[in-house]
Amino acid sequence: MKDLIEALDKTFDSRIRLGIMSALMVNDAVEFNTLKELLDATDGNLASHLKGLETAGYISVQKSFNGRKPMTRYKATKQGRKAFESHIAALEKLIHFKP
Amino acid sequence: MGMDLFDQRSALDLQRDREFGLIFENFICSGIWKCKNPALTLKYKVLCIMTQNQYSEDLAHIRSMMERSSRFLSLSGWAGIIPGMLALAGLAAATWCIRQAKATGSYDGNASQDHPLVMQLAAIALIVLALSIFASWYTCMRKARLEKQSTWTPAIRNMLLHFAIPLMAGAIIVGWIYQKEQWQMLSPVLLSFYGLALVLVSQFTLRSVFWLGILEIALSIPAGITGWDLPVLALGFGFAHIVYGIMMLPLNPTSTPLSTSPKGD
Repeated sequence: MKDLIEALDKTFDSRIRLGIMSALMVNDAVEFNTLKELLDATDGNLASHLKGLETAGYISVQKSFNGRKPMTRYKATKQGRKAFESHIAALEKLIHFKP
Repeated sequence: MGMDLFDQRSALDLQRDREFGLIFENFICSGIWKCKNPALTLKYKVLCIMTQNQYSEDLAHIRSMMERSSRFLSLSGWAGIIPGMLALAGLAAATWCIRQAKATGSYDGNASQDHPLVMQLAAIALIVLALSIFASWYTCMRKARLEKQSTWTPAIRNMLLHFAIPLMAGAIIVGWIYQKEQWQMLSPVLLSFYGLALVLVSQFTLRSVFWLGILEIALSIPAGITGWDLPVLALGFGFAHIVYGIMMLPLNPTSTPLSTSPKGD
């Protein structure tokens, strides 16, 4: 079981990060405010988790303007999708582990 | 605020998880569980089950976030029942109009485009459509607000777009039916295009809408038989909606029980 736990990705070590990645897996791109509402998180908290995922190279950021309003959209990178899929696979293996 | 609670909870959880992981790792590394002491083996099993619970909650959270970010789940049962009843009322009014027209002798089974009966029926249909859209929208938004879901998300926009496309295609065909006075085609076209819209929209909302759509498409077969169109329309637009709506009422379609309850209890 120890190696099963080690197979988990430490980058996804929070519910908010799991939530961000889940939303990005099933949508092409998600806006900051949509994520905020979905996860019921504060601006600062969400931003720091997004930054963490971005540094890991798991998500990409697109900044644009919608009229005068700035808009930040996030996408899961190929690397991020792969990492998240293997994280889910590791979680499933852990759950089905019988001592 | 709810969000602060969430933060505190996850921070606490993280801390607890780390401590717990440490104990757990020591436990495994020590190899103590391999000995035959039944108390220690039991403790190891309990530890395993506790971690497993936490990871299955993680998975449940992932699943619910994927659902909530891509589907509109606050579909109210009343959004089926009210339009179903409106449809039945509209069809009753239409039957009455047709009977009146037959009694006065102005209608003998064939009607031209500008026949007053056609205008009356079109007016009834449009009123029922407008009231139904309003009722569905209002009840769904009310339910979403009650469930503290946001009422204008990309998931909802996606749902509306994919619902509208087959209906627009159907509207084009209905326009040609009106132009060419092929009234016997009207009911099958209405039912099958509405069914297609439901099948498509089931990707963006509750999955069970798929089966309602299949039913509507299947009903377009008997709808083509002369004289059957009004009863079949009543079945497809009236009773099917009412029954489906009643089935939705007691259910709580948001599949987020684990993400909202405090974990670890």
